[in-house]
Amino acid sequence: MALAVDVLNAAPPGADELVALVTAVARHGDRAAFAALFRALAPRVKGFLVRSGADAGVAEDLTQETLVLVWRKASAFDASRAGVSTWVFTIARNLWIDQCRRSLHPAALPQQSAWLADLADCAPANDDDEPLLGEQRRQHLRAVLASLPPEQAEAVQLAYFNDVTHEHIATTLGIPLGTVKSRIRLAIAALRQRLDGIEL
Amino acid sequence: MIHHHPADHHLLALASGQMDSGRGFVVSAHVETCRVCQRRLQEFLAVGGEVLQASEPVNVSADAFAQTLRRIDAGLPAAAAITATPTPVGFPRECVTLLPSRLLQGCTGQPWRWIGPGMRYSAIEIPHAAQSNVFLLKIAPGRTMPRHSHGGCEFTQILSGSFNDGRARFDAGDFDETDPHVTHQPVVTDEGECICLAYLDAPLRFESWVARAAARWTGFQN
Repeated sequence: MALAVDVLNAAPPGADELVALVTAVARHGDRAAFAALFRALAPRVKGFLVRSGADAGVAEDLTQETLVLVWRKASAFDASRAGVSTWVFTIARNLWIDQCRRSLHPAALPQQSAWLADLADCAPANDDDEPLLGEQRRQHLRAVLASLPPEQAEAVQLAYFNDVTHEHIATTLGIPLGTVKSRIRLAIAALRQRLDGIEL
Repeated sequence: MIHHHPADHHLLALASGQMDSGRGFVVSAHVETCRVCQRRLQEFLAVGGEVLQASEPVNVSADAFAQTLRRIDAGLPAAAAITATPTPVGFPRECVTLLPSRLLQGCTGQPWRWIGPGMRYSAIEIPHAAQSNVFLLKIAPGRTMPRHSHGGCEFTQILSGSFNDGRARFDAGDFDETDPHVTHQPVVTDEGECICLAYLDAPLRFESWVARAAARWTGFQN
């Protein structure tokens, strides 16, 4: 069954809708739900990978791989442990790290953390694990991110991309690289302060 | 109770895949045993999820969905998986129990090597990293390390025992980061030997010529 993937101008699905789509894929192998996930996620995953430094071909390939893994691991996905976007981010990140290792990417080889690999694989939690980041806490996190001043929100985003991106920003803004980096650290500190301000 | 944790920007770097193997190994060793940092890492992954959601979308190829379905139907491994990681070899026995086994998978250790009275070290080879700069250090109870500063950055995860370096007391489970601004002289407490996992991106700078010569002579540092 081939489904046309037209870019619909509908609003992107919210966190709950994404969970419902993953659940439909997990329970019934629902390809229409998977198509909706693909539409919502694939262009963002590809955009993220391109910004991470992947060339267009690699970004396309890893995007497809990410969605293949979403299909395969959907039944193990546990919404009480992580949101769909967190899970997909972790899968894409792990694939990107493996890619860097395979191609001996000139950037220093990043560490693949076993703990993060388990999270992407939805490995069963240890008995003593309570959900690490329940939905309430995730909502709080989204609210905190939205409350950051725009420059700081942007700096937090920048922290997720490598030095090449930082150098590019420094050149564009005409400021030293060190300044970009210290702005990023200040933004992370501001994020932490707000996150820990209210414990849920 | 863990009192010393990696800084947030290190946890974010690990979450976002920006951290190199050597640093990442030591930070991961901490995260494996620290609920606080597991939670923080989880938060940074969630922020990563938000960053991904906010990424400027890039059009996938016209037949990307069909291709993805073909990959699913073919049931082929999604990627040429990184070769299965063999069990770790060559590690001192006590370290195999002190470090989470999944962290050590594929790594190669060395027997303890004498580097001074009451001091031994064992370098760790990490897969996919030519030079990991990661090693284990075992110091006898009550022993004082030679006073030193740092040519670069040092990450230390305390695996057993404890030491005090004048800045703070570090116990099993604690993480410490030092940089060229820090000069210290760790003193291992009398309670037992202290085993640490450490990463160094530049040699230590020992203040005494004896320690410098010993480090060079034993091959601990050149």
